Amino acid sequence: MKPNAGLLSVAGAALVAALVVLIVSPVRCAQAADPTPLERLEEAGDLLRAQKVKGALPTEPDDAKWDAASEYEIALVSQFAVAPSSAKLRRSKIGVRALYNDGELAFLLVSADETKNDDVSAAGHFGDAIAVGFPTDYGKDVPLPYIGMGNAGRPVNIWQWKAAWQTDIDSGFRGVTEAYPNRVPRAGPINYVAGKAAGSPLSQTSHTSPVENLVAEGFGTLTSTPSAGLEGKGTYSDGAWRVVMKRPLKPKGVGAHIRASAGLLPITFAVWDGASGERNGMKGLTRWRFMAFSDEMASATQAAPTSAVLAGADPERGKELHVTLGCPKCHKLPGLEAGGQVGPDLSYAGAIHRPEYLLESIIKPNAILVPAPGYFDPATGLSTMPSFYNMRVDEDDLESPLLVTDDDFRDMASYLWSLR
Amino acid sequence: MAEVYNWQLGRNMEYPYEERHSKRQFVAVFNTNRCIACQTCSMACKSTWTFSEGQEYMWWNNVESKPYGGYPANWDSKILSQLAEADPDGQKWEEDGTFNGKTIFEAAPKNERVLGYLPTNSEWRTPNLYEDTSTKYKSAGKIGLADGGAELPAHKAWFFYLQRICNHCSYPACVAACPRKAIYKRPEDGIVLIDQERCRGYRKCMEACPYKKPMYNAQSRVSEKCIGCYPRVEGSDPLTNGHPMETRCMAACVGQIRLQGLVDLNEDGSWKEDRQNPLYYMVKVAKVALPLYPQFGTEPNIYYIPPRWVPREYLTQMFGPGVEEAINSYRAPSRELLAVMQLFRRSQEIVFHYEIKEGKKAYETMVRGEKFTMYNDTVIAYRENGEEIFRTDVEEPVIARPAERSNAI
Amino acid sequence: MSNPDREFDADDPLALVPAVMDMPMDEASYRQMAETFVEEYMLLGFSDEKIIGLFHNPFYRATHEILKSKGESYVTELIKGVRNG
Repeated sequence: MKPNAGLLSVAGAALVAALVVLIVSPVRCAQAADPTPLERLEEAGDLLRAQKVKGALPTEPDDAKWDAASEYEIALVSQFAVAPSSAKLRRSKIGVRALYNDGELAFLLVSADETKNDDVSAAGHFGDAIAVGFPTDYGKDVPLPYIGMGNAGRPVNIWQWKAAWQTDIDSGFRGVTEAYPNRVPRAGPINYVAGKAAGSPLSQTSHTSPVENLVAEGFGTLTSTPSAGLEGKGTYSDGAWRVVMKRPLKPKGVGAHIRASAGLLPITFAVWDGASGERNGMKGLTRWRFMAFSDEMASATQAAPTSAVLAGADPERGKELHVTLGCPKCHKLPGLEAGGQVGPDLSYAGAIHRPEYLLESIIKPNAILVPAPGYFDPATGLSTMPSFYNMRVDEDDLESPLLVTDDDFRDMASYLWSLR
Repeated sequence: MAEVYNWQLGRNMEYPYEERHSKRQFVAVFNTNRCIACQTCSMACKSTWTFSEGQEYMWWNNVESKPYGGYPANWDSKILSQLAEADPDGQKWEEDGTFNGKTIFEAAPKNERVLGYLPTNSEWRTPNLYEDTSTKYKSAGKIGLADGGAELPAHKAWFFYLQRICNHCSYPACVAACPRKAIYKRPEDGIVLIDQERCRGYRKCMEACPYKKPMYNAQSRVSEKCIGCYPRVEGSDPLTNGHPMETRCMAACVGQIRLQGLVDLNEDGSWKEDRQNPLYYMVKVAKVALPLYPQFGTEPNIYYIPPRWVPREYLTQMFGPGVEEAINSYRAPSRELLAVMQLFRRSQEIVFHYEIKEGKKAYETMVRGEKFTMYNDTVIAYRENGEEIFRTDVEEPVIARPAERSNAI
Repeated sequence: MSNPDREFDADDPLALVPAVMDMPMDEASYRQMAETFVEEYMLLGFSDEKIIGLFHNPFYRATHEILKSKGESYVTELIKGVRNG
């Protein structure tokens, strides 16, 4: 029976080889012609891999376990789309590593910062902070929330680590008594701290974690909600903050349920530089990226957005179309004259928005309404920008050619996408 | 930006929110001509609301010596120069009283909703720098005190005291600037409050308010502001049995320069005609009191009787184009205005209504070539329900200190 | 507290001793201020003699300062001017 067995095994090996070829070759063929959706994300620098590890996840920034994770450098640009935003554009980078196990997900975030700002004990002092954001609901073809704060019906979960809270935990709460040790003591026995009495999470003098769990469903809706198990630790050395944030994949309380099996997790980062007076919408921001889980690469491939909305589009032609259609009258676009002040500044549109959003916002300006001046007209409840979709060269003649074709829109969006 | 009507500017202006108005508005009149800067108002406020940790630097009520004093330092000249820079040569009032310059909303840079600045920490440190006291001792003794007593300076130039609280504006800059709607204007009385639970200490209100009245509390890490003593205005202080009461700073005023009340508003924000409401009378009929820096565009609700010895150009910059009319109304007061001025500080209760009973002639004199007759009329103050609060006479006795005691304190 | 021997430093935020501003004043503004004082007393029904008395009284600092720097005839003319318009 041995030879037979041998034959069988040879045949078996051949069969395996054939299967391998079957699996691999279509991919190879496609690669030569057209990248896969996942590869497209990777090429654009939009894919991050979280590495699965055995045992507990690290809680300290200098833990050797972080070496297992790939480090990604992600560009940040000042949030400039909605007021209040920074007066001066600031570009920076954040280093991201992610590890996970069966129960938890952890990040190591490294942000260069010349000054350590952890003291908020005076009106002119603002603290450094770093945040990670996820959509509360996500999955293949689930539309992404508006970048940063989400939008109505598309909420986001934000973990914000605060330098001031870290110092409170490391060396005790820093209030006015600590900031002004020689001040004249108060005369009376009553001490009423209104924020604390009202239950403001910002006014609490003891924190279990330096990371605040927040949910938002649009600008101005940020809400602090405790989330069990959201931990963190940040240290400052050599001109950089190194911050760990860690949380159960499925938290008790409020927060996005992170499903490694769903393959891709949309993810965004934000950094506040206290020395530049950054707080609220004044921050460094990045567009939605996607995080793949190392043990779930097959499902990541499945989950990647399949439509290559801008494949083959011509950004140069898109730029010309912007001029032809008069876009710079309202929008600030680099190198294009007029410098419109009416609509949002698009100088770095591709740095904070995804191609799908850029295309959608030109074709259907009302798909996501940003409730801010320049975007939204309170009188009509509609976007300030008209839709050029189905508009004809001669508005009275329905037989005249379309003003902007689908390809034109794609060229325009690819121009915006090129603005980073 | 929405279009809203600002009657103090005589035109529509841009504002981030749609036009809405409270049913009533918290309003006060401050007579700058009578203030002695005793700071009793400031202390009344501090001892009631800002005595806790984190509030050390807070003066929700302050009195500053103009033209140089300011809390925070130079607050008004700073915002005025920002506006002048944003709109060079354009910050002007028309003949008909329309302001054609830019408000702090209209002059806002693209990345902000309001034009403003965040005062530095040191600017908050001196609530009344340049107060009128001695510069230095002539000859310092051993322990630094003067041997022969301090010599007070003699003022050769005009100055005056400016009393300031939150203006509880009709179009508040703090409300406009807050990115998370943590600040609101109460529909029942127009008092502007910061929700202490919702505030996240961004200090955009502090940056935006041209009057610099929202303040960051470093102990609670959220911002606070003058609350218009809303429990008193609501009438929940037991002292007045449920009747609305004036704020602490008003009630404590030693110089009797303040009168506060509530005016009813029409749906469009204009004041409902209410001839016998002392505030309506002073602002809308006698036109003796004017808003502070109306050109900022927030429609502030504290009205000032301008100091009438101060150069008009300065006053016009500070109180708008009505200065001449207000001063004329005040310098030759009508019989009614004289009576209404007696309502100041006879009671802690809000006067909703007054009535005048004519009295006898007290004296007659000549001022500026015209006959001025003083009548000892009686003015009667009423609650909202028509009950009398008090009555008082116009004529007060003049008591001259005898020469031999002229320096007695 | 600041040192009383030291000259006033307008830029020192910790100086707790305030300053008199040595502000130039034009004649018209000065006159306006002086007229206001006189007018106030006239509205109280004071006679010219009584008002002049307040200029001579050193404890009425504002009026007395005017008399000291401008002289008696300025004050007499001032009072006359305000009385008769």
